[in-house]
Amino acid sequence: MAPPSSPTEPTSSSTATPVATPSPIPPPVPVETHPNRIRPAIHAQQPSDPTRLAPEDAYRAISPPRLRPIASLDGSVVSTSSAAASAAAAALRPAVASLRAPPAIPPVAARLEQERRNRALRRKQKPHIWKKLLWVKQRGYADNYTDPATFLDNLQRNPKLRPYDFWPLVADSMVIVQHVCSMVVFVSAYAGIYQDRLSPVAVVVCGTIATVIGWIMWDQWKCQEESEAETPTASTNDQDRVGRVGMNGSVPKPLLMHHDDKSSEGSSNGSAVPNAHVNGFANGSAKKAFGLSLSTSNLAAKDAENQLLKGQSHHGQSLSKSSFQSISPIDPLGEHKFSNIDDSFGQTNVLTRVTSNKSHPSIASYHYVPQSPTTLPPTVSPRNQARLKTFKSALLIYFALLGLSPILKSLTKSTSSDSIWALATWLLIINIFFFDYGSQYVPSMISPQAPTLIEDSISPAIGNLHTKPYHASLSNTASSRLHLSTIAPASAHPNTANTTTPQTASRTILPPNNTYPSSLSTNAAVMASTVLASRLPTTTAVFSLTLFSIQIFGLFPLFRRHLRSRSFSLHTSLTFALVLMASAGLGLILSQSYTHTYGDCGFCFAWCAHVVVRSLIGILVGCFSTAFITGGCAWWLISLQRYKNVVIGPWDPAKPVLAGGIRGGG
Amino acid sequence: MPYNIAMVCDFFFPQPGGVESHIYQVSTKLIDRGHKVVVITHAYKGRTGVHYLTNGLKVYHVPFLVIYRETTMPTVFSFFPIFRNIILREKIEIVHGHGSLSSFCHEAILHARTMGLRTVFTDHSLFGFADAGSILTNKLLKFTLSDVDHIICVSHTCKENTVLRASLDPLIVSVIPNAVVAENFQPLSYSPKSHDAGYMKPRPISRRIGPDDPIVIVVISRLFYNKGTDLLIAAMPRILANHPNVRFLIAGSGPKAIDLEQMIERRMLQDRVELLGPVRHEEVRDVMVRGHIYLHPSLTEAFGTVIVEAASCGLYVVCTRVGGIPEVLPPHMTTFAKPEEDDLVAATGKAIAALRSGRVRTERFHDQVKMMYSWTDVAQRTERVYDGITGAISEEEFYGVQGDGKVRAGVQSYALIDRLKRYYGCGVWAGKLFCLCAIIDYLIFIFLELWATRANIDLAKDWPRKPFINDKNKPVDNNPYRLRHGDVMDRRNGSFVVR
Repeated sequence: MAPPSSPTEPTSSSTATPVATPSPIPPPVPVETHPNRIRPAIHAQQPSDPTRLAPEDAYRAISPPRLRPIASLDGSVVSTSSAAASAAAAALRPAVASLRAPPAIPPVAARLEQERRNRALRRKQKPHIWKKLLWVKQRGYADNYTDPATFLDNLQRNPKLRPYDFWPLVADSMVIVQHVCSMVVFVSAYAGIYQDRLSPVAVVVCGTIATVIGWIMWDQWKCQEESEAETPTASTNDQDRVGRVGMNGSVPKPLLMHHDDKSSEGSSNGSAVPNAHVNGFANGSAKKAFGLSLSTSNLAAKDAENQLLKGQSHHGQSLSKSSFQSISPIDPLGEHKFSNIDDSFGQTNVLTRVTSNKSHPSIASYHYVPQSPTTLPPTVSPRNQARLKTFKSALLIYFALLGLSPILKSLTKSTSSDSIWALATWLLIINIFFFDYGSQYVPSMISPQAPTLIEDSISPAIGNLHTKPYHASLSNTASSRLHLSTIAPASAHPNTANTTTPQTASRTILPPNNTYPSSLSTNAAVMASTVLASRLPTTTAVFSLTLFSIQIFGLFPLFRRHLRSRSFSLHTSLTFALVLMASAGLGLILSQSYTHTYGDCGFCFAWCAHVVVRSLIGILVGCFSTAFITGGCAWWLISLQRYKNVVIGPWDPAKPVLAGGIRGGG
Repeated sequence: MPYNIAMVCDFFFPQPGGVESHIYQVSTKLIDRGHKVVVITHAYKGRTGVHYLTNGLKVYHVPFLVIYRETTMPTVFSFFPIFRNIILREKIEIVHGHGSLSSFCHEAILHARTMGLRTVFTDHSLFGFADAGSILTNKLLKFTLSDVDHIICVSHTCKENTVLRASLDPLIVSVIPNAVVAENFQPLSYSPKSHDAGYMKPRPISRRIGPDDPIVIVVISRLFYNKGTDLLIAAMPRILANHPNVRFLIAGSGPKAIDLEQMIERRMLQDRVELLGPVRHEEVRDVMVRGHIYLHPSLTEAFGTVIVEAASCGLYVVCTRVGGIPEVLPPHMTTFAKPEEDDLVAATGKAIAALRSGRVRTERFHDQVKMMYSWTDVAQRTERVYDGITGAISEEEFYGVQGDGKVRAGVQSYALIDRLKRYYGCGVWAGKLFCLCAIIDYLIFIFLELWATRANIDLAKDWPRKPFINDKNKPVDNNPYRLRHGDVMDRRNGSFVVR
C-alpha cells in the first residue's frame, strides 16, 4: 500500500532503501491520471512544469535525491549533522511508515528539490532563446531583458541621405535669387515712381515689352512641345497596358485587345488607343503612307493661365479607303482639328469609336461629335485658340485695371503711410517665404497618358472587341462612369485625380503639377502692390504700378519656371540679368536723385554719368553680396549636413502604397 | 509586501479606449493581489469627485482644464497641491503614470519624485521623430523620464521607440503586453472545457467552410488615416471582385467614413458591405463573431489589442506588418501584409484560401489566446516591477547582470542634486529649463509642507483589502501542503482547501 516514495524516507540515504521496502500492493493508479478525472492534456503539454506534479511522482520507484533533510510528517527533524543518526532513522522509518496510512500526497519537499534542480539545470543550459515576441512566455528572461542581438535592429539612420554638392546647390538656389531680385526690381520701381524719379508709363511700357517678348518665347516653346509630342506618339506602345484590372473591378482580367501580339505597333495603337493618333495600316509596312490625318484632340482642360495641355493634334493615320468608315463630321478631307473637351467651356463630347473588325481588325476610326458648339470656329487650331484666349484675358485685365485705378488711388486715403509701409513689407515677406520655389514645369504628356486611361476605363464596358464595335461615350455627366478628369489628368483637380485613382489600378497618373504656383504668395504680392499703389498720386501711376505688379508677380514666375525647364544657360543668364537689374535699381534708389539735387537737365552728360556711376556701385555691391550670400549659404548647408540624424524604424507610421501610384497623405 | 499605488492618467472611464481599459484591468487585478490602487484622472463631464468602481477601485476626478481630446492643460505646477493631498490621504507609495500624451501623468511623475515616491511610467503609443509635434512630445517625455524609476512598454517595438525618444537605459524599461479579458471574447459556439465532465465528451467538429460558403471579413477600427482606412478603401473593391462569396462588415466611425461610403456607392457595393457605424466596446465581440476574417490595415500600432480580441473570438487575422503587430500573435493565426494595396489584397486572398481549405483551425484560437494573454499575468509582472523599484528584490536579480558584471541601472536617488544632474543632461537649453522646473517644484513642495502640514490632512479609510498573494520571486516556504496540483486554491486570498 505504501508507495515507495514515502515522506519518511531519509533524504541523505541512497535510493536503495525505498526499493527494499516491501510493497505488497502495486502502486495504485493515481487519481490524476484517470482519464475521467482530470485533464491529461496539461501534463502532456507541460511535462516538466515544476510547479505541478507529474503523475509518475506518485509511484515512481526512484525518488529524486534531496540535498537536505526536511521536516517529515511525523515531526522529527533529521539533520545532516549526524549521518549515523540518519542512518538509524532510515532503518527505523520503513517500519514506522508501514504502520501509518499511506499519504495520498507525495512529499512536497522532494518536488521542490526537483524543481530547484531543474531550475539550476535550466539556468545552465538556457534552452529558451529569447524571441522578440509577446505571445511566448520568455522563460528565464525578465521583462526588462534587452536582447543585444535584436534590440534596435530595425533602426535606420539617414537612410536617404544624399550629400549635397556645392555647385548644384548654388544652381538650385538661383530660383530664390531670381524671385528676390524680381521683388527688389518691383520695390525699386515703386520707389522711383513714388519719389517722382521714374515715369510710371516708362515702367509699365518696359514691363509690357518684356512680358510680350516673354510670351512670344513661351508660345514658341509650346509649339515646339506640341510638335515634339506629335512625333514620338507613333511609338506609343500599349503592350504594357494589357493586363490591367478594369475600372469597376468586375472584370479581373481585362480584355486582350491585341489581335496579334506580333502585329505592327499600328495595329496595337489602333485597337487600344482610342483617341491617340492611330497608325493603322493594312499592310503593316507603310507608315503614314496615305497621310490622311485624323485629328484627335487635346482631351484636357485649359485653365485660364494657359496651362494648357498640348494636345496632340495631328496624327497621321493611314487607312485603307475601304475600311475608313467613320467620317469626320467637319472636314472629310482630313486635317480636322477639334478643341473639344474643355472644362472651361463646359462642353460635352462623345467619342465614338468604330472598329471594323471583319476584314481589317486592326483598323479603327474615331470621330468626335461635339454636342455643343464651341465659341470658336473649329478650324482654328488649339494653339491659336489659346493665343486668342490669352489675348482676350490680357485685354480684360487691362481694362479692368484701367477702370479700377481711380478707386485704388483713394483706397487707403484714411490710412497713414506708416501702416501701409509696414503692411506692404509684411505682405512682401509673406510672398518671399511662401513662394513655390520647388514647383517644376512638367511638360504635360497628355498624348501618351490620356489614351491609356481611357482604355482602362472603357475596357470593361467594351465587351468583346473582336465581335462587335463598341461605343465608348465620354461625357461629363454624372451618370456616366467615366469622369472627365480621368481623361484630363492634368486638369488641375488634384482631388478628382485622387478619386479616380483607385479605378485605374496600377497606373501612374501624372500629378497635376502645372497648376498656378502658390496662390498665397501671389495674393500677398498683389495685395502689397495694391496698397502700395494706393499711395501714388495719379491714376496713371496707380494703373502702371498695378499692371507692373501683375506682370512681375503673376506672369513672370510662370515664365521663369518654364525657362528653367527649357534651358539651364538661359535660366542662369536670366538670373544674372535680374541680379544686375535689381542691384542697379537699388543703387539708384538708395542714392541721391540727380534731378532733385541739381535740377532737371534732361538727358545731359552729368545726369548720365550720375546714373551710370550710381548703378555701377549698386551692381558691384549687389553682385558681390549675392554671390557671397549664395555661396556662403550653400557652404553652410553642406557643413550642416553632418549633424543630420534621421532615425527611421518600425514605429514610424507606414506610408500606404496604393496601386494608383498615389501615396496617401495625412 | 502590498503596495499603495496611484495610477495617474488623463484618460479613464467614462471615456472608452485602450489605455482606459488597460488601467482599469491592471488596477483590478492588482487589487485582487492585495494591493491598494487609486486612480487619479481629470473630471469628465458628468463625472466629478471621488468614485468607487467595482472591486473597490477608487477614482479621483480632479477638476482641471481640458484642452484637446481629453488632455489637460500642461501647467507644470498647478496640479501639485491637490496631487499631494491625494497622495498623503491615500498613503501612496508608488505613482504609476500612463500615456505619453497625458500631461497629468507627466506632472504627477515630477511631483511624485519631488515628494520622494517611486514612479513607474507606462507607454502605450509609438511616436516618430520627424514632425514638430513629435519633437515637442519627445522633449517633454525626456524631461519626465529622465527621473523615473521604471518604464513599462506594451511591446518590444514600443520599448525601442521609448528608449530612443527619451534616451533611456534599456534595462529600466520592461515589456509587459496588454491583455484581453478572454471571457468577454468567446467564439459564437464555444463550450469551455470543464474539468470534470467535459473533455471526454466528443466536441462538435467545427464545420469546414466550403468553397461556396460566404466568408465575412470584419473590420473594426476608427476610420482615421493612421488606421489605414485609405488602404481599406483601395483594397476592398478588389478583394470583393476577386472573391465573389465574400462580404465585409465594417464598424467604426471617423473622418474617413465619408470616403468609405463614397467608394461603396460609386462601386455599388451596398449589398456586400455592411457599415455598422460606431460600436461600443462591449458589443465588439458580437460584431466579431459574425465574421471569419479580421482585417486590420493599420499604419501604426503599438500593440493592437483588437487583433488579439479578434483572434480570441476565433477569427483569422489579416494585418499589416507595422509597429508592434508582428510580435502579438503567432503566425498560424495571422497573415501579414505590407502596408500596400496589392499586398493587402494578396494576403486577404491567401487568408480566404486558407480558411476554405480548412488549414486554419480557428476554433482553437480562443483557448490559445487565453493561455497567451491574461490580465492576471500582466498584474503579476507589473508587481514584479514594483518589487524591483522598491528594493523588495535585489538589484542584481531585477536588472540582471550584464556582460561586464556590474549592474548598470540602479535605484534612482531622491536627492535633489542627483535629480538635477539627471535633468541637466536633457539638452543645452532644455536641461537648464528642466532644472529650473525641478527646483521650483521643490520649493512649492516645501511651501506646501509648511502651509498644509501633513498632520492636517485626513487619512482616507481603506477599502477592505484582499489578502496579499505572495507567490512570485519570494522565498518559498517549505510548507508541504502548498500548491498541490488538484487543490482548489482560493485565488483571492491564496489559501487553499485540502481535499
